[in-house]
This record gives sequence, structure tokens and C-alpha cells, in this order.
Amino acid sequence: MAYDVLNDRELIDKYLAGETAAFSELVKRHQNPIYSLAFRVVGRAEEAEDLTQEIFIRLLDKVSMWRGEAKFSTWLYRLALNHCRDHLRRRRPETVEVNESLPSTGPDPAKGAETREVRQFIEAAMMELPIDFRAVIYLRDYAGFSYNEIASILEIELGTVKSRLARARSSLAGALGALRGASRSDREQIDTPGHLRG
Amino acid sequence: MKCKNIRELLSTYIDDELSQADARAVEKHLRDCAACAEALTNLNQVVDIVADIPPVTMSEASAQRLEAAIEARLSPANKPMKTEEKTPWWKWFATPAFGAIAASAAVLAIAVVLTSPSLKTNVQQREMLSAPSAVEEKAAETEMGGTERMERSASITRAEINLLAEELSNQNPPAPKSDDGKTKNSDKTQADPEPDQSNQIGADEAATIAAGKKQIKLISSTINTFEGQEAWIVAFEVRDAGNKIRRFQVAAVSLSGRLLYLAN
Repeated sequence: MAYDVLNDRELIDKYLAGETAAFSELVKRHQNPIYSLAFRVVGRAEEAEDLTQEIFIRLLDKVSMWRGEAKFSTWLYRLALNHCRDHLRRRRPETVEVNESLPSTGPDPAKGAETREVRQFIEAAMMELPIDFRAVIYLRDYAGFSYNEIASILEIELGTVKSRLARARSSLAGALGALRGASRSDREQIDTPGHLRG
Repeated sequence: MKCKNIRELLSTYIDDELSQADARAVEKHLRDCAACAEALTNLNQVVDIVADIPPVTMSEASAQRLEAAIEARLSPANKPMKTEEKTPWWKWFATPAFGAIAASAAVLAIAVVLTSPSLKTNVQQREMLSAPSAVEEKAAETEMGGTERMERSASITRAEINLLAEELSNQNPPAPKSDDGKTKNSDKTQADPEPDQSNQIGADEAATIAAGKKQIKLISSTINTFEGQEAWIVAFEVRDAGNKIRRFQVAAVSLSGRLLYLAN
């Protein structure tokens, strides 16, 4: 049977009726978004892989609880984020070497080195945000969820979504401003002839 | 509106989620305030940069591991059940096949792991102790035809081991019953009801264990297929000198006593 033409609801119904292949299709369909979410939350590829596996194994037990009030992807993101949050709570606090752990995203010929550097800087700055702020900016600006969907995933009020997003973006804008200020200062140091510097 | 109020609305303005009245107020302010206009530009840049972060995808190998783990769980031996019928993870270990041989091989291996100075390195990359051949032989006997032969069609993955360790830590469950109906760790009532939530054992603790101030207490064990081979899956407590439970751990140990995986 061609499961790939079925929507999430149909796949889940078939799985619950005993067609296990339907669940495999569900995993295939959502594994990369969930891995991406886990990676952006924990910052390490290997941990994100383990978490992704744990999330889908957990989903096996919990999928029958999805009633369809929210979109399946919204519900799954909530399950995944809660799992990632639990994981971070258990993990000993330590510094995440973001630049080292970010997997290669392949050549990016359209973007210059400076753009790449800025992007990596922002990725690192995101990892410095508290998880609630990191999650909201990821869900909105990266994954493209609506405010209402984010409220549902994070189980918070709409107003809280707006305020967290505003603070997270402001924080990153501040970091970006600092980076540019530092770069400008470096350039001036290099470009300015020595005798003109104080 | 003042700049402070406008700045608070800019993020929502970018997403076109403001009321019409607020949006008009923001636009009016931006026409006259260069600083707020610059703040809006900076926020837009951040939004663009984050949206432009290339997607990360699972490696092929990782996707295959995920698929294998799901397939294993979906196999007839692990056919889907309704949530309320699902056996709690930790009860996998409350099998009658629990035995002293498993305890010998597994605890010996784990004790070596816990006392290893390179504890934090990948356990798979570490050379581990092989248990005495007598233990292997007994384990083999038990496997092949002993009355304690277990149901071994199920397999278990690293992720499941991690989940199991998590469940043990979160639930702090009562001790599984043994064959004679007695709890195996009957002194658990004296245990700390709030076990350490961290599942990692640091080098300092390993040293304490090595000095004999802590002990490992087996909760239960079972044989499952782990990464293509038969392995003991053992759940155990790490206790301090006062016999208080410090943490729960779960490990996969080969039948010859080599540690294959320790939950992280």
C-alpha cells in the first residue's frame, strides 16, 4: 500500500488498526524536522540523534492520545520539545562548543564567508538563550509556525509567545550589533595608518 | 507612543500580528524616529538570518538506526498496544529469569566501568574486562536450555536503554518482585526518595566507588538482542556508603561480561 499519499491522521488510524508500516511512514515524514528541533535545542548532533530515536519510540506509546484538536505536527513538536527539555534538565550544565558541534551544512556558494560567519554567530547566540526563548525563535523564524501554533506547542499564552519572541529577537539583534561593532573596530584598527591612531 | 513602547511592538509588527491601530501607531512613529527604524532593521536582519540557517538533516546512518529501532519495536514481539495496556519500561526487568549468573557477569563489568578513570569517554571505545570463562559457560547453559530460558525475541536499542534509565530515575519505582515474591531490594524503603536526576557518573564518584565507599546494587536483568548480539540488559542502583540510592542506571553487557553501552 502506498502510505506516502496518506495524511498523518490516516496513517495513525492505520497504525492503530495494526498496520505497522503506517507508523514507519509517519516517522520518515517527520524525522528530519524533529531531529532539527532536537539539534537546535541541545546543540549536539549525536545527542539530537539519540533524542530523535527516543521521541519516536515514545510516540509509539503516545500516538493514540492524539485526538486531532491540534495539527499532528504541532502535537508532535510539543512531545519532542518536552522530551528535549527533560533531557537538558538531566544533563549536567556545561558549555556547548557550538562551532565544533554544528554539523556541516554543505557548501554554500551563494553566501559569502562573512554571511556564513554572521549566521554561525547567530546560531551560537541562539544556543546561549534560555531554552524557552530559543524554542520560540526556532519555532517562529526557522520552522515557520504561527503564533497560535507556538502557543499550543509550548502550552503558553499568546501574549507570552509575543513577549518571548520579542525578547529573543532583541537579544540576538543586540548580539549582532555587538559583533558588527567589534568587526568595524577591528577594520578601523587595520585600515587606519599607525600615525593617525592615538 | 514612546520609543520604549514601540520597541516592544516591533517584533510582533514584523510578523504582521499587531492590531490595525497598533500597526498604524508603529508606522507613524517609525517615520519620525530613526533609532526605532534602525531597531526594526536589526530585528528584520535577525529574522532573515535565522530563517536562512540551512536545515540540518539526519545522517543516512542515523536514519537507518532510527528505522531499525522503530522496526524492532514494531516487530510482532513488540506489537502495538493501547497506552493503558503498555507494560512500564522497568517491568521488563521483573522477569523470573533473573539470576545470579547475570549478576556476576553484568555487575562485574559495570563495576569496572564505574571505576574506570576514562569513564566519560565513549564506553564502546573502551577496552573492558572479559568475565571469567566459567561465567560465560554458565550464561550459555542458561541461554541454551535452562529452566530460566527467557523470551529473547525482543530487541533493545540505545535510545530505549536511555529511556529506561530515565523512567527509573523519574518514577523511582518499587523494587520488582522476585520469584519468591519478595522484593529484591527490600531495603529500598530506607533509600533516598529523591535520587540524583543526573544519570552520568563523574570521575569523582567513580573514585569514591573504587575506594569502596559506594556500591552497586542490581535491580534486575534480562537478555535482549542489543546491536545484533545477545546481551544482558541490567538495571542497577548506585548507593553511597550510607546505603542511600544515589542514582539509577541501565547498561547493556555482553554475555561474556563486556560492557556494551551505559545509559547517558
